[in-house]
Amino acid sequence: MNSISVNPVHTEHHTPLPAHRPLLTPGVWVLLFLMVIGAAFYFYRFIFGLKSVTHLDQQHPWGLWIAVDVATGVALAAGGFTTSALAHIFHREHYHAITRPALLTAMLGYTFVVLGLLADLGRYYNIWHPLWPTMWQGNSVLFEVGICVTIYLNVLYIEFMPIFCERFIGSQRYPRLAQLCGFLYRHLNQVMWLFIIAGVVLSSLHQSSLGNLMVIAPSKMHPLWYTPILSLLFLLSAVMVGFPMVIFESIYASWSLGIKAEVEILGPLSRYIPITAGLYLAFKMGDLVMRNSYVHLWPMDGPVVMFLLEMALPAIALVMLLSNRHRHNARWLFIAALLVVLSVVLNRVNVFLIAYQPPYATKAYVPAFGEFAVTIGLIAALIFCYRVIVNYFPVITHPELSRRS
Amino acid sequence: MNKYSHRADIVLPILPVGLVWLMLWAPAALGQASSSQPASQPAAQDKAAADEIMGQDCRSCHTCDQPTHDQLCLNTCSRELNPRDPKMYSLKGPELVLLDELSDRYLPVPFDHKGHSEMAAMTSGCNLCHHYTPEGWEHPACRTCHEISPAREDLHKPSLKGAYHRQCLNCHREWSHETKCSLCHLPRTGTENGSTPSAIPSKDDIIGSMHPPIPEPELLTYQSKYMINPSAQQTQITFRHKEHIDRFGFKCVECHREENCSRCHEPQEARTNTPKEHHQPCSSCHQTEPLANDTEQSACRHCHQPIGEVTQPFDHAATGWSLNRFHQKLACRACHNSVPFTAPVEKPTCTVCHGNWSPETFNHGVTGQTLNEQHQEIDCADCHTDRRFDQPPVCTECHEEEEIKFPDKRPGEFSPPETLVPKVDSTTP
Amino acid sequence: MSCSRRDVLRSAGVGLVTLTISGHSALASGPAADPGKVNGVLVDITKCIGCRRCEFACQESAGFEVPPIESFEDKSVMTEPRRPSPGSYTIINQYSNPRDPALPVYAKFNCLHCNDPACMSACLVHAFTKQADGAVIYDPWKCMGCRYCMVACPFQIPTYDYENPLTPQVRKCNLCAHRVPNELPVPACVKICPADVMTYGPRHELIQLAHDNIARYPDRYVDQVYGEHEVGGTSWLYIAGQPFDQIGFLNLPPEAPPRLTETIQHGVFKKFVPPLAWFGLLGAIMHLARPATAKESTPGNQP
Repeated sequence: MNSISVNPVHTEHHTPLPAHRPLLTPGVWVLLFLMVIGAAFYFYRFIFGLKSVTHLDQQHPWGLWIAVDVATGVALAAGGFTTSALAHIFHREHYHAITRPALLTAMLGYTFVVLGLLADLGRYYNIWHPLWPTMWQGNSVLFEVGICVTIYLNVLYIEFMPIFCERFIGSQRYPRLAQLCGFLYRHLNQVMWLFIIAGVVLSSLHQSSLGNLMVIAPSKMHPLWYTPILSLLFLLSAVMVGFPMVIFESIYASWSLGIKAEVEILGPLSRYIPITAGLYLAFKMGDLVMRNSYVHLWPMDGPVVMFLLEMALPAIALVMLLSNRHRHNARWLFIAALLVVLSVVLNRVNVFLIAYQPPYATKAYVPAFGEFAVTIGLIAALIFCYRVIVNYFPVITHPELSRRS
Repeated sequence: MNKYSHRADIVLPILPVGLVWLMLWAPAALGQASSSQPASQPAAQDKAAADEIMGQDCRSCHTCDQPTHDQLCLNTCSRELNPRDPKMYSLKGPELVLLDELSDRYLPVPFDHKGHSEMAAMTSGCNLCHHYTPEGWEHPACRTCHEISPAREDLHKPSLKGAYHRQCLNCHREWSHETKCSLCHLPRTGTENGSTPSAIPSKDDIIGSMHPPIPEPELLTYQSKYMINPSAQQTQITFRHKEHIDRFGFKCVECHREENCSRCHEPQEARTNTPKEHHQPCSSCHQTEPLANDTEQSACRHCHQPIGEVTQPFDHAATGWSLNRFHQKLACRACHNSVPFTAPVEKPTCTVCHGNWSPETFNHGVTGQTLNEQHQEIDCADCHTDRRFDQPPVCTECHEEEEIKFPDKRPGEFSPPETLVPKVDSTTP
Repeated sequence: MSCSRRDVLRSAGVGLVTLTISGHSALASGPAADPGKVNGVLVDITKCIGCRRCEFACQESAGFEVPPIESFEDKSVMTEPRRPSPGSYTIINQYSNPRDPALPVYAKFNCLHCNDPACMSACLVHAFTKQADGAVIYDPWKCMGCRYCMVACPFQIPTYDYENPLTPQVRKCNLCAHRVPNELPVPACVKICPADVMTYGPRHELIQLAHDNIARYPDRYVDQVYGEHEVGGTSWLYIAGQPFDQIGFLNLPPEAPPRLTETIQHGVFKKFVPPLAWFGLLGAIMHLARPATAKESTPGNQP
């Protein structure tokens, strides 16, 4: 196979550049404050154990950290593989401008998934065990998730390597680094197609397996969520949330950096959302009908409301995005994308926390302050890292950035 | 690139999703998870040991492979055992048994066999604890059959530890509601290598006094909520306890099979029985279920009577067959060899009991019919065909004349004694 | 798991990580324990007197600091239903007895040692193994503390040392697999039980025994052997005098949960063909869908 250029076709209008914005804005100070609180609880947990920070108990082994930091984190990082599939595999060159931010989001997302997982693991120093061949347990769904996430994380770092290298190529300050970067940049691009496809394959595997995790506990799961096709629904929702996440994050970053949102790219991108969301909702409702589990929609208690909300949010976004006017308005785009993102967050929280109903539980699981603090701290740290990297590395492609430089 | 539209983009996401879906589900649907059940095999039956102890095949007495205390599944054969005879316990059983096979955590347990056997004598006798052993046999020690090791060969048999404890717990738990081990056990503390005889209480301290005798009631009355008519709120059942034992020949255990200590020791906690459970001891003889076509419920009235009315003792004459003064003294079972007694007496010939009667030994006068000289000498069977003494005698054996016929012509003087002769000729007394 | 699977793993080599995962995954299947050798325990709930001696023996056998045996005679702890904990792998709960209110019913809870354990299937590092004698045992040195086993267990049995910051363990009954070799292969709770509530032996014989007892005393037992079919069968079996859901047992289906997840998992990874086909297809699309301009351009655009 000929080596395929996966690098954007750079024109004077479409060159990714460092944003070079002032770093310590008031918003960033708030992020830092949240990070410090999160870090305090994070390290407190490592010194005094899970009991001291979390409300996990013998009935509720998985809490907020698994549901949000890990499961939701992986789902929301789906923008990386969906965008790279669209732009690089299906060669929709129009979208090259958004592949780098999406890649950065995915890379940071997965990095923080691992950081969040480290806090939750009781024997965190054994986190390498799934990689050790004598301990491989191929029957375990979690093994599949673990190994795919590990490889994918490395694939993401390799995919990001050219962006890192671009920053240092031709640097006078670090001549040796510049030389190495130049070498890497040239050779990585020749094999990058392998990693791009591997990224999509690995993502589709572990995004679905993440749903398969809870299939092993049929008797403990709320019937509205328990289905043997939970893995398919997870994959479909990951595909669904990929583009909205990119739109959400792109508009959010634009506003934050004080540049105009790139509606001319995000607008056409949003046309895929009604299709993916429709597919997801069709499968979800079809499953509801096929398994006759719609009978559990009444009486309308807490879980049922959560379920309806989770179903309603993408449906609203779907209807909103059918309108051409909405698709070309940054505000509407942002709201629609946010609805889809929220529905997937809700879905992951529902599956891992709300639907999990342990049989002998005497009290419900309510996350402790420390758990919220760590989760919020990790998200704040992710946004902070994004901000820093966007500032100093050529990630964002934007006409306004081009003009200033 | 500014004008961006590709018709193919619409189907773009369907392709990978559909493909992954196929890959996910086609193999999953094809490979069906199979579950296997282990083939159930009959448990190993090691009856050889038991046969050796008993000297014969278990099957000669038991109809099932695994007889237990409460389900002996015995063949019907004659077994002489009178559990009401307290002498057999005090005479035969040991006074004190030291249970020391399992004394690892605790000291050996001294067991007051005498006291317990006296208590048992009031209900099922030795069989309350021991497996049935034929008359004249030694009860084998529990450990002969019950294995000491908890990893036992025959899973159907309780281990020795379980056999001992369940024996005690059956009663002890019922009235104390406690599982205090110290009630019987002394902990193995204070001594270095355990068993110190001095730690075990002396024999005199252990062997308790005999259980005070329980008087056998002559007559018991019970109140029942069952109504025979709307005016009566309750009915009364009279139970002639003594009559059932002495006359009807019931053994205690036949009714008191389910009996336990708490029946007397904690009567306030006695549970409420269902009507069926109440009737159970009676239903082997009495009709306790209303008959289908019996609107009057006369079967119920037999026992349930208005308050204050006491049923009279059983009079055999009520059956239409009054008994003479000799037969009145007999227990029902002397003639009726199966319950209920309403069944016809099989072969009701007098010679079953009176087998040695002959013209020389039998004074025919007691029947009221004195035989004249001609008839005194002839064999009983000449008149009583097949020695069926309950049938009218025949004269045709000697007398060919049609008109000579009993009772128009009698073989001697006759003075009918009211109490000696059946009022009605009947083959089913 | 079986040796052949290991050999496949070794021969596959460590280098081609992705390929070896597939080889391993595709070959792994249901539990390999020989049903004839699997031992179990039959618990006759009608015989239990609630003396809690098994709790004592279990804690003693596990090497915990145990309060004096007399303190276990305290029945007040049983007023609230309890669950196994990291400090006590088995517990007795008290339930009312409809047949005789004066004599409550006691039910013992501990790991049932499934024939097809969900915890073992869930664990990604082989920390759980099903021994040939039926015991499902845990290896803390492999464990990474993800607690997926606790999520997977249909009986909610594994417990966790949440207080321990450095070396927490998943805690559950291991059928006294740690007992010294020359000791009897009988769990400590079975050994100490004074009322002979528990019978230890080959599982298939215990099932026969349970059905024999039910047939012989139909008034004493409900006609169900709990654990015979539940979640694919368990080594611990129970017979009781009242419906099991009245005495704290869960109504569970006969299917073992791992069968579904493993079927899906191995379907997706069948000889690694689906992921490779997916990879190949994407590669083909990537190649064929190249726009004309890109095809002519030289590889590796420099900025």
